[in-house]
Amino acid sequence: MDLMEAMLTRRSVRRWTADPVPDEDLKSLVEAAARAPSGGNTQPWAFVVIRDQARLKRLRAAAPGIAGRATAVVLICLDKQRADAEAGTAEYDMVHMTLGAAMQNMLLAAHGQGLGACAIGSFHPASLASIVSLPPHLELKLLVALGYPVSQPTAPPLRLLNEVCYFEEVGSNGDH
Amino acid sequence: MVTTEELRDELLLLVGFLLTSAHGLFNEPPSYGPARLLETAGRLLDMMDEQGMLDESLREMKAVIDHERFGPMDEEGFPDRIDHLALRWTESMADRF
Repeated sequence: MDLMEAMLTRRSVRRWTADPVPDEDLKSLVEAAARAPSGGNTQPWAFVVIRDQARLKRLRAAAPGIAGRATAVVLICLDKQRADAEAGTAEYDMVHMTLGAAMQNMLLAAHGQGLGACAIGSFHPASLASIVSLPPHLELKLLVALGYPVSQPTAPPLRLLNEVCYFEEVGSNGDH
Repeated sequence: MVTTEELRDELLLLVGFLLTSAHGLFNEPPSYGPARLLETAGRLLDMMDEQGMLDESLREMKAVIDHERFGPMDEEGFPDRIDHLALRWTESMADRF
């Protein structure tokens, strides 16, 4: 699957089979995420991979955004020590975008491997920090729930390109 | 078929889901509230299914709920679909009570 195809066909998958994802595949997803660009090469992230069934059950109870039974969940955390150390990113706008780029790399890599994944922002931070023993300098920002998809979801309603893309001036779609 | 202890554990996890949902809903989009209740209904039906408690008609209803749980988020028409689902569920109960 080439990159453009992956970007155009990726869907948020919320229902998975019970088949476990091999550790090597999970590591390659994290490797893709950790190759995302970061402001000042801060690399202000840490990733916690959960695939133990008991811990996944507790996680699902504390992360309401996870609908189905994911066979693995990756926690994407902001490393505040690294972010603070980088002048100009103190306001965290850039580091948040950086974590978003890491998440998208992971979602695309998962899709490319035949996995289905869903980015999750609904979770109880303190509960999840407790479940994975998160140290204070790591702040959980996003989850990626994943596994092998039961089926490939249909595309959601999408805005037309000419509603969101302009050339030269806002309001111009580039037609001559 | 799961044991009573396993069912208890699943219910305890559901309580956790409800509590963390309650916390999240203070700051989340309004449509997440109905989605969480729908998810709760789905998780309860999952447990009943694992206990062999669902007949064919209930399993059909569960499939409709699962379609909403696991499909792409599409807020357009969501209230109408929930309205239809609630009425269909109520009518399906008429044969039982």
